[in-house]
Amino acid sequence: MILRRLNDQGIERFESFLDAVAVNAHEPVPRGLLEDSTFSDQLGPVIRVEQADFKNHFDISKHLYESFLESPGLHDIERDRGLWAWLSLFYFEKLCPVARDGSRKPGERARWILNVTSRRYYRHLLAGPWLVFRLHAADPERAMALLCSPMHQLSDVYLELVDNQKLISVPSVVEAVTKLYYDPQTASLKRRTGRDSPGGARRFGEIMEQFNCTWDFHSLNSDQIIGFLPQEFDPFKA
Amino acid sequence: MPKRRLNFTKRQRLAREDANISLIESDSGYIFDVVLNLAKYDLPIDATVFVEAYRQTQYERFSFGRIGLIQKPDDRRLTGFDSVEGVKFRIKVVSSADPVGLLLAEGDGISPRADEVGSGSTVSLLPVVLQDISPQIWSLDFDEQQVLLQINSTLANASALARDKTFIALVFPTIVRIILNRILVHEDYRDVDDLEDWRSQWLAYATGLPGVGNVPKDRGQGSLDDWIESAVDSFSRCHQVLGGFSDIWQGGE
Repeated sequence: MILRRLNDQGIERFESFLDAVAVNAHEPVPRGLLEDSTFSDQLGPVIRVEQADFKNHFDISKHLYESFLESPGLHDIERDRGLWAWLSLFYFEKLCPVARDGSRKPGERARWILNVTSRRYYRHLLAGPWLVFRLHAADPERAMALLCSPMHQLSDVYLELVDNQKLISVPSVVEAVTKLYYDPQTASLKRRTGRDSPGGARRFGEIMEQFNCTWDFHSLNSDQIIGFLPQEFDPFKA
Repeated sequence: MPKRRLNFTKRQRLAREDANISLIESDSGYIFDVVLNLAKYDLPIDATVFVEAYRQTQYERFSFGRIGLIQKPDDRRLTGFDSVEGVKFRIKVVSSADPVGLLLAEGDGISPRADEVGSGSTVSLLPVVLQDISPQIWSLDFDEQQVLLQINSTLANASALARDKTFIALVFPTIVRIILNRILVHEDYRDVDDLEDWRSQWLAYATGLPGVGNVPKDRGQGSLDDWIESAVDSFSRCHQVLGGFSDIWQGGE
């Protein structure tokens, strides 16, 4: 389908749907908004987006990154609420699958409608991971620990890192996170990487914040950074 | 609560006057220049120098050679920023000898010189940035280095809104209240002397308003609220917000 942008009316309808589907999982997805010129507008450049078997944020972010790259006429993508709202609706089934108990849990609005008033825009299910992919586009696999979650989830590892501009922009820090927390055998995060686990994502963020006062992370490689970490991280170093 | 930065490694703090940064508008966007005066610091000649520009999550880094031979990069365009309002700079001097990567000196939160920024704009206590923050009209964004006033970029002539008399009358006293409350209550910050810190700059500004006086030593919520209200009152008087608004407001008819 050719990518469009939800207009204010379209976003309003989409938000009403999000409210409704949280109560009634059978609420029909308003896909008609995607191509209805009352609710969505054409973009300048023609960009095709696909419904494919995206396994995780890495796959969808790669698809979007490559699609946008081929369309240089698009500007300020990272702030385009209408574009990301359109994409959220387009991929709704993958971003909000029906749970085992039959419910759908769309969660906070920032996951669906880009919120650029604060760093919460990283919580957008598509724009946030795409920003991380773009930031590390020279070697996106280094950010795999942040992007390996299914499309409907943002892991603690992701949330802890993206909240800190001084860390998320540093290649060696992001690579260290992947070396620590990502298991290539299972293509997923290792166990106990959660926020409150010893040696988990929150502790990593806290310790890096302290080291940031003393070290220039850009001058270090990922192994040096891992070498700084205290004993509680040993289970992840193996 | 504010984070304390402990200095176990004798990292030197670069004074603002030793990193003179200016911005020049060109056809290809904004280019920054920096004049560094690092001779008085005891730094090894082979230590590397970096200049970082940042605002919110936007960030660019430039290598400036070594202490013994500062080499400005040819390309100093700020391509990662759609505007330069509120952009701050950080200077880092980093060890290139063992231990490599150790931060030897740092100057952070440096604003470009006011007389060099754009045409007619100034570096203010409250930089204004335009962003699509729909459905909100305005918002404050706090980070470690400053507070920004965000105006919704989808509004017609959005850049003029922060100078509009009605907006100033209705919104700015609230902004002053929110910021002072954030500094004094949320962050429990009292220092008015560290004028490199945006919070001190705001407190210094507020204490300088007529009739406001020093920040109360009593940390009780009541006395802080009273002080903040007196600052908001004084701000409103100085900017004649009531009179200005009365000239515009015709009773809604």
